[in-house]
Amino acid sequence: MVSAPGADLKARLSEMGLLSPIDPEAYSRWRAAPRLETIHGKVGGFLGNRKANASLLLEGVKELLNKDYELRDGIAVDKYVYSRPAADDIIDDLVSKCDFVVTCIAD
Amino acid sequence: MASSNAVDLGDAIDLMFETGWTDGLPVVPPTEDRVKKFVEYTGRDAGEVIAELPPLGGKATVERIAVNAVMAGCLPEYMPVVITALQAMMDDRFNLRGVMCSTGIHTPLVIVSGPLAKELDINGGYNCFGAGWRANATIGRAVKLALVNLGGAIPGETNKATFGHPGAYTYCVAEDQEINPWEPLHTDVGLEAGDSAVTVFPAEAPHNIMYHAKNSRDFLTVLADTMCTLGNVQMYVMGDTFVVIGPEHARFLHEDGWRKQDIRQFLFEHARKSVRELKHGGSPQGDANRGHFWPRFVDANDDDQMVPVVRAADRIHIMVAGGRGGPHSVYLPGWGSRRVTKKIELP
Repeated sequence: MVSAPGADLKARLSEMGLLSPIDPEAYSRWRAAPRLETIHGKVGGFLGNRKANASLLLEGVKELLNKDYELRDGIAVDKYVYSRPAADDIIDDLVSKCDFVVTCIAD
Repeated sequence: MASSNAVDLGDAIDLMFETGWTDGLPVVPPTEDRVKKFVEYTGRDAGEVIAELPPLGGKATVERIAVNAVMAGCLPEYMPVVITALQAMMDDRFNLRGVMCSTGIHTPLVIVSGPLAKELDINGGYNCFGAGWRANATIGRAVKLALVNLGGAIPGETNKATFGHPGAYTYCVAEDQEINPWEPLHTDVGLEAGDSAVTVFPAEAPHNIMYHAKNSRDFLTVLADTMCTLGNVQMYVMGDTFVVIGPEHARFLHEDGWRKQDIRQFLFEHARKSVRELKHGGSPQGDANRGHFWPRFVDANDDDQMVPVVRAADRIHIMVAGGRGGPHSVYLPGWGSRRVTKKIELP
């Protein structure tokens, strides 16, 4: 783990005069996306990583969500390539059309 | 009876294990005075941010890089190499986020070429991919520690390498210009021969090619065959690839008049597999309808079409290293991204 040390470990490191190799604020710069109170009747986006197994998994998730939450619509889309984040135009399109997005990585 | 210093040192090493910041091996305790020496050597400000390393985006300041370098066992004079390597990896062509979070077996390789390699005693001869040289062991390790501790590429968590390979501990080598009959590796990107540079590349473990005779075409044919095996990631995801030619092979190739560009062209034309054979390996996307990364000139619907190991000849990179006398060269499959070379700026 590279998380910031707890108080006890921090004190012991300090006592020995040892410096830290990590950025202790790195994790705090990431936030989960805000959550909806319900996804019932909403439009869902399903963003795959361009590998077939990811699409299979997302298709299954979409079916289950449709069944349990009666989604108004579900939009499936793939990134251009699995090894990089989704391009801005894909993200912008999902943001404009969807109330929530599910992503998946599968090899 | 152990001195109190030895006891303290042991306690410090144990404490560093508790932090989870090691690579599984003991680290040199990063004391303030040691780290300060490393920072001072660079001539840079301790708080200067060299990179925000993905996937976590941790800010790799000069001081934090120095802490990782001390932990790795570096000397202060290795810092410019470590810093340059991390900077090079931030080039979009290298795709550091993808490299560090993949299920593939590759890991970043640091290659140092030019006069500084010799000055710092970075090994490019016998056992250059093995053990025995402080510079190789600790420069490569410093880079890997930084990628985990600052980049958050934690084995088994964000770094999902199915197997990994021992280069994940350290993977650093020099090009040996004394035995290289051609121009140095870094001149490929327009740097001067007298410059010193770091080249980074997401490499699998070295794959040996043994060839005892002295026929250049036969040797290159053997090399090409090794490069295009079924199951080789390169055949499906393309990207750059490396060939490390051993001194004996380099000598007779050069004596026979082969230049690096001739070798690249030969390998590009001969390191190929048919679409029919590659279908046995399946599409990397697991679905034949999902397209591929092969060059446009390959018709994927024609089973007789021959697929090259790279998209273009200039994606095959050639360097010379290894011990004299052995009939060996090495192939380094890549992962799909590009090699990046950056000049080392000394303080």
